[in-house]
Amino acid sequence: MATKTHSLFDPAIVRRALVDSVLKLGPRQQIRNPVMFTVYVGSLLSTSLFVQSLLGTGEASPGFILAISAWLWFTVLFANFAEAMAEGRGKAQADALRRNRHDVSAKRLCHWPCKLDEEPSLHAMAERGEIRVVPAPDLRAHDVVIVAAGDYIPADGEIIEGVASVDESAITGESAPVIRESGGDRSGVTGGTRVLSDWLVIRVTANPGETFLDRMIAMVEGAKRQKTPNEIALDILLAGMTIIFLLVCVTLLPYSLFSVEAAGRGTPVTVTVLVALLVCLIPTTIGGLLSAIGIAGMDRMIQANVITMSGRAVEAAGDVDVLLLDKTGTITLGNRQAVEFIPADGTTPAALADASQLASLADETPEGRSIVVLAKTKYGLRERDVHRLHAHFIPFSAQTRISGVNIDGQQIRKGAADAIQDYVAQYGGRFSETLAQKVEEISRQGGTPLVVAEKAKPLGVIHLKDIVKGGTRERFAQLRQMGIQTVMITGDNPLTAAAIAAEAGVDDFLAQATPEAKLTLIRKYQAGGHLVAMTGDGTNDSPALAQADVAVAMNTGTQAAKEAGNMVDLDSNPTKLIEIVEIGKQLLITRGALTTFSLANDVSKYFAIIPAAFAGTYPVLGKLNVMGLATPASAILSAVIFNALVIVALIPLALKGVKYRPIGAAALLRKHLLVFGLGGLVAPFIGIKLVDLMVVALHLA
Amino acid sequence: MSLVLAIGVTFFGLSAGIAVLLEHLLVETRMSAIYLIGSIVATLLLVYLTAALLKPEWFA
Amino acid sequence: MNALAIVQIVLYLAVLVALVKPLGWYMARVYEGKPFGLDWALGWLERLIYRAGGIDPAREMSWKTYTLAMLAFNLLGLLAVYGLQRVQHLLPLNPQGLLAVPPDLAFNTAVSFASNTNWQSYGGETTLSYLTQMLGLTVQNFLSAATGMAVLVALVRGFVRRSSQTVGNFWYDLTRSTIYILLPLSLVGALLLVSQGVVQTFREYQTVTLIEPTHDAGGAVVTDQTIALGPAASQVIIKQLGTNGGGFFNVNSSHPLENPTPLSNFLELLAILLIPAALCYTFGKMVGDTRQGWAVLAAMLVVFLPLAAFCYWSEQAGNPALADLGIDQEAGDRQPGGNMEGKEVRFGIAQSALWASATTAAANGSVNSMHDSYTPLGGLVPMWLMQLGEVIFGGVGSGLYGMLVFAVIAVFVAGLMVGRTPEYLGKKIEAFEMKMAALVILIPPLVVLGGTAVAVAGDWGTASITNPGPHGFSQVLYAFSSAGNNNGSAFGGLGANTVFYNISLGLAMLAARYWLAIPVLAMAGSLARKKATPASAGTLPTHTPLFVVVLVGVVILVGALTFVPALALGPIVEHLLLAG
Repeated sequence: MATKTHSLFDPAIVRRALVDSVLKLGPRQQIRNPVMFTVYVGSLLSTSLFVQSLLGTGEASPGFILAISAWLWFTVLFANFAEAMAEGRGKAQADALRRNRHDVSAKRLCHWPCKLDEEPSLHAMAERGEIRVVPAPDLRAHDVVIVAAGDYIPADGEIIEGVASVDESAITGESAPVIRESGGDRSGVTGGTRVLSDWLVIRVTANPGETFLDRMIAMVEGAKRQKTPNEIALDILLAGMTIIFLLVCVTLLPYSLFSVEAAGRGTPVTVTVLVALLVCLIPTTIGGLLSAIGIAGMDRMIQANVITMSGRAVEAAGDVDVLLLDKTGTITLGNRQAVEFIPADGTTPAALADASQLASLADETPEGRSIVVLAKTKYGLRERDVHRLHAHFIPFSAQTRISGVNIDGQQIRKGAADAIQDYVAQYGGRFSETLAQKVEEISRQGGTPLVVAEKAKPLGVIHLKDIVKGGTRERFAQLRQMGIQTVMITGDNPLTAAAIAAEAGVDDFLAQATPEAKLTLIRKYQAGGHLVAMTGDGTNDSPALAQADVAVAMNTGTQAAKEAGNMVDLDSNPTKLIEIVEIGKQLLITRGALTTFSLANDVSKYFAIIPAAFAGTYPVLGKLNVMGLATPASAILSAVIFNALVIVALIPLALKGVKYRPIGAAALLRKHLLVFGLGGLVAPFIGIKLVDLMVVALHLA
Repeated sequence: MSLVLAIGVTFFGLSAGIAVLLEHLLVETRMSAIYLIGSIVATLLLVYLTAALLKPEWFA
Repeated sequence: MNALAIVQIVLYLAVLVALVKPLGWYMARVYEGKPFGLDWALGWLERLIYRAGGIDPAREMSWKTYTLAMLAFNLLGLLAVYGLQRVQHLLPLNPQGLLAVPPDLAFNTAVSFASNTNWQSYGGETTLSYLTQMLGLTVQNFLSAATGMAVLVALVRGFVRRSSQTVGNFWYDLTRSTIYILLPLSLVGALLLVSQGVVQTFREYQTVTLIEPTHDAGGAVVTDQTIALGPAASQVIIKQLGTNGGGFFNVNSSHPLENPTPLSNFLELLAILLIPAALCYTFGKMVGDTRQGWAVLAAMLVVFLPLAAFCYWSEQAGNPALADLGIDQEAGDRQPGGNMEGKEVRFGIAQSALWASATTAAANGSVNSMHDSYTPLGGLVPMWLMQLGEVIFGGVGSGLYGMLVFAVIAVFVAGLMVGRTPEYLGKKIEAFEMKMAALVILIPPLVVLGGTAVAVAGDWGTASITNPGPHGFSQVLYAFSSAGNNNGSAFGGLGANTVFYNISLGLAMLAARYWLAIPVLAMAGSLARKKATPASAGTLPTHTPLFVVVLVGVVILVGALTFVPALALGPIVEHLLLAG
């Protein structure tokens, strides 16, 4: 993204967050968070108690009530600040994106379809009245526009005619231009990007306000952020805990009145102290940081150049236990390479290499290049100049599925075994037994056999091999430890697929995959209770993308694929799926860890506040003051201050997330329990004591 | 339905309890006003939190 | 801790744990409808009941239907017991000619027995006729226990079933719990108790001449004593087995005719925890992984053992104030030492402390010693065990379903920490489950803390308190902890037979029973509808020691955090005052 450079604690973001944390004090914003709203109400109550004490009828000294209420307000503000910080980076990004939204005008075609020239002159067309220039916001879905070199694309759409290079850096941050063309899987264009050369006819697919850029801005800004299902479930638990602690504090008042009467001394506990106790006990740490954690999770996706359409998808990513991975580009390098020439009977390897090289000279596919390279490295055959050969090259066609060259009366052809078999048969030839065996053998090893023939005579087989990416095996083993199955999707035949699957170490594979087969496979896994993630780019991926729980569409893909998925990877990198799963897990872990920490914290607060609250009635409860806090007032104030400060202290953790390590669930739990459970139990004892020392030193209470 | 009924009864019982408490407090204590306000605030908070627990979608 | 005490506690636990697997296996067969032997002998009875009630046991119920059936059945039971008490003077089997029970007490008693609490505001031998005891209380002892087991089985089915709209048939579960589990166990147990001298008779109370005449409070000479009798053994065994706890006699199992010998004491003590412990295995068996059941049982034992030991230690250590006066409280050949006030000599401190812990860990509530007389810390143990929500063994069925709700919460927090949205036994824990779980953990504190607050706020409650200072507060807190967790044991001391306490404790018992059962059944329904997520390396394992630690942590944290302030003002401050 254009503004990827913002660090987590950019001074500009901090400044903006400070202002925002005050702006967020409105009750309408606060009421969304049950825990913090309780603190908010407590702050209001204690503030009014302070006002009352100023009038001379207070329940405690104005200084004490003021200190308590001030720190209660800080607690609210710190939580606001955390949320504002999490939103900050997104907001900065949204601003940058908005700057990219130019006031462009669109050239709408009045009639479509119509005949266009090879090099259409927009000027002439406008004069003929074939084009109407309208402001971009007036465009609606299904309008057809023409965009020439240098123009901004006015809206999201599908290319229906033309090929052009497009600068998409405004969206992806990638400065190299990309080719976009009609038909196929690279026909989607995004509003706000710029055509650099040639021209495009685009059918608009999004109404104003619903474009990718709009959604992206809304998403990074968190403007329409809805709570995710797990967040809601956690909110329920936190609300339940808050009710329990509210009951604890409210009932303490009659208990205290009874105790004062029974003991015959002391004064009942004050409302200020009860409010302080309540705020310390309710899970403010997680309550204050919960929304920040969620926003930061989406933000981490953005940093990974993945646009998520909802927070729900980020959460689901952590749950994914089946990954459908396309073989090509994810598991293997995008292209197959020639590794061996196997001549047929009566042909020498060198002759086969020579024929293969000739047939591949004009073949610019990576496979074709690799044949030429192999012929050179293995048999020292230099590359010949195509033009000087007076050869006629036969390009690959979908009908015959063969390509080749006509040279000096020779007709050399290469192609898949069955296609060449048909070709040879035309001239009355056939494959020998051994050749057929070789073909079969290569398939079984996961390779692709490419047969070369000259009319009726098969010359031999070229072994094209899928090269499995380095480190793939280790990566999949790691995924298995995370509890995630990998399934390879490929169009290859089952034999080839099985060999590559074994080499790459995937758990399962789907060979000869059709869109229907993919959809069925996803449904099958889901019926078994699995959550499935996949990537896709083509229009025919759309049904599967729509069905998958986490569906990452490649940005290079079609508009339909992007609509069907719930995430878009701007880098169009299929291995991103693994990173996405990790970010999802990290989000959930951070939530769980801080909840544990928050609840474990409470133990120490009882030890701080209970002896202090009943110091007058039952001085012997002072024995529970294990921290040796100076005075009742300092003890209560210290607990409140610690409670507020711990929110600030944990903001970096909430924003960065707890690190995820693929070490298995049990080990992960043990580690986090030790750090956040035990740590949460012990840390506040030390923290409150330190704050108490400072409070006393500064004469605050 | 039974749940709603159960909750209804809880609130009835609770408000009755709080009313009794209030009356007692108002008679017995000097700082009656503070306790009165405190009790009202606590009751409203309880209603809000119960809503947040049972109908989180209202606050989503 | 002396050796004899250790032997007693270890022996008890060894026998208990040894019985878990066979009984648990048997109960799983009963609920899964698989043959288990006794169905051949008693099948006719089961079929007869279905025919008489016009029940089709194969008809599956949705959780709502199941809940309605459960509530309607319990309401009928409640009304029957209430009615019986109100007209007992007109009915047979009332040799003492006892009068109709007053409405508030009858309400309290009816709720108490319907809700499996068995709080005794009444005094059995002076209030209730034989007919009321047998037809009202003993029948409810069976049925309230069976209700708890039925609700548990529905919840377990929720975990087991996939994409199912139903959770079983309430009448089927209720009938089978009663006639295949509770009835046979009671029959055997009652005979064993009778062999020890527990009475079982319809004869009127006997008057005997005292060997040594004594004086009453007014100074008049007393030469004879009326000994209360009745069909006790049959009721005593089920009150122990069904975690009911309502004694035939007022002083419950410290009464020599209700619990005469150390052996009868051992049997009754065993009966308290037997079914709740064995149900853990049943649960594991039914979900297809007995390790899950053992893990839950382990969590219960991990909480129970230290607390029982602490209770014993505190009682054996005696009163710190007396120790300061130089009084010998050591156990020796000539004295049991420690704090023997309120304890029976034939049981001693170890059996009393163990019983006090077991009866409050389980939602039983029967007593063989007076908890009011315990040292402050010794008395804190039973009180706190109840406040943990009666999930450490707990009531038959209800204890385990309560514990499973805590497991759901533990899984929710711990599950997040392994980077997955949480799941338990393959079922995703989502907003609805959390809502129900939150209600379940919320209601006991609401009832206990709220009830205590109302009681100590005015004369209506404080007038019944018989001890000054913090101990008086403990009495009220104990009463509401007991009623608000369906335990039913009494601290003693609190004069609870007043209109205020009868009504408020009655409401507390109702709330604690049904407002927990309803969300639990709702959760069962929601779980049953879900698909099951297959376990993988990324799934939080819930049968490991680590999970046991998490579960115990959640139970303790919620229990401790909620009641610490109240306990601080009661037993803790009392102890600190005593210790000086």
